Amino acid sequence: MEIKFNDVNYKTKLTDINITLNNSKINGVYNYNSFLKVLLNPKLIEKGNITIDGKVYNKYDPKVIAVIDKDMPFYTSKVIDEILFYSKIRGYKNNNIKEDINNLLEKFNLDSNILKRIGHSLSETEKYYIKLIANLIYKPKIIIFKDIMSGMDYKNKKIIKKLMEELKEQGVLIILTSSNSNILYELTDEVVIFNKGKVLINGSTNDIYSNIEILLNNNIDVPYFSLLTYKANNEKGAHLFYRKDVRDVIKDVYKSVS
Amino acid sequence: MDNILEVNNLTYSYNNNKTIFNNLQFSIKKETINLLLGSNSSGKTTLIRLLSGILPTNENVSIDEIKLNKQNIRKYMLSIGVVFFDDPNKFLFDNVLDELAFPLENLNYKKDIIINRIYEVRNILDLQNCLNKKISNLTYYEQVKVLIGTSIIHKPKIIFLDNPFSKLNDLEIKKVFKFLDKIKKDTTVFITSSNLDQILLFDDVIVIDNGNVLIHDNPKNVLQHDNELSKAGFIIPPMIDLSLKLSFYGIIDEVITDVNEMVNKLWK
Repeated sequence: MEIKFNDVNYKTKLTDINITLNNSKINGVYNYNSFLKVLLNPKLIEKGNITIDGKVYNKYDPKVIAVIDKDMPFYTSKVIDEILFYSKIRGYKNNNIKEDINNLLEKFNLDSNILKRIGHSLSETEKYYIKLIANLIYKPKIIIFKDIMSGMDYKNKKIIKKLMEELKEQGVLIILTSSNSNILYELTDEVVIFNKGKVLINGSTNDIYSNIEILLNNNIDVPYFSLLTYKANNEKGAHLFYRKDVRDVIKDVYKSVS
Repeated sequence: MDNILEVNNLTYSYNNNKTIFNNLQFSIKKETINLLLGSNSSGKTTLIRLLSGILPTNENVSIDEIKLNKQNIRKYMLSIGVVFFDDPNKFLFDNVLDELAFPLENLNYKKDIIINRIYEVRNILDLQNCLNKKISNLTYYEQVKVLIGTSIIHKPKIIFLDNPFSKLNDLEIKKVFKFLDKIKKDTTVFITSSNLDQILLFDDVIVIDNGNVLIHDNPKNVLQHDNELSKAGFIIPPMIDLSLKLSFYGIIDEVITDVNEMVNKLWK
């Protein structure tokens, strides 16, 4: 599975964009508005095109690309209806759908009683999981997680992280769009950073967040620990490594200051 | 009386099924900004629904010694303001003025009083550029300010804000706190969140876990319980986590959330 942008132009918002996203990596996208817009409505593209597995992509198909959006409303009242609604409008049929739903509920630590509940009585996180299940159940090949993490606690973040890895193993192309660099640093393998309609930089997430000068010069949000390391090394002559985990940071800091 | 809100032995379960709160007990001091911290699906929104009279309580809740019961319901409702920020239908009208005026019109206030009060709220919340706009033309940050405006327009004694910050950036949140600091003399503030990112901005913090109060203290003391917080499923924000661990090793002696400040403190 591979999405390729070939010289994509859209107003002044995207200029000559050439990027490739594939399912062997978890892909992050920063400053994602226009990227998401043309992906969900390729007719907006004025020059160039997008190809999916080599075929020109000119009409959005929700059967192929699912967007998990925390802010999407519930369309129906009961939870089970909401889940089945998505499969129905996507024309997906499966005799084992009930079993699939139960497996997913279990994965997200939800009690099967939730299916009988009314949508608006759910907590925000429960609603998010129900939307996620409604989309996972018809097995889309590309899943876009739109700004997932704001407000998620540790336990749920771990569940989502594990889910993304599993989907990646199954060959699903995962895209995580976020304006929070700490989340992109933690969860993605590769990242595309858009700035003023162009790709400012793209590649391995670890590389990008350990060479942050270009990001700082363009006022792009950088992870806390990357900024700390950069400032300590550049302004104070320290020799810290770029780290993700606080335990590694503290070891480096301890060695450096004591 | 130093306390504005008292909750005594509050028990609640969904459909006699899953118990959400079991003899919940806490009180909130006057003139403070309070954080109710609970992990996802821990019942934060349910608690706000209970405290604002939407779900039934059994005379276990009182505000300024007014018990929430059938006789007092009107008096009680006048002393609270409430906003559910995750509710897709949180706005009733399509423009800001109607939205702000509505709570007062509903209470049969005279027109000139309503206008005066809207101007006061405009000044408190810096709404000069928003008053004549449509809701749909506001940024999310402006929408948050308008919603806080609707909650304080009738000068309540306490406001309940359910999850107001999840879509604001750090700078916007700091600005909101400047407004809340102005408000808190007259109106105590009670805010829910599932993360500790802004914990240091609050006066007091209540952590709920499994339907009970786990910790109730000022932010600095709450952070001393970092192991318990992790166990209850909370993520300690990176810079706070680093500060706590560095102070454990005696390298610094306070919580520093600003990266520049941290670097200058560590490498003098």
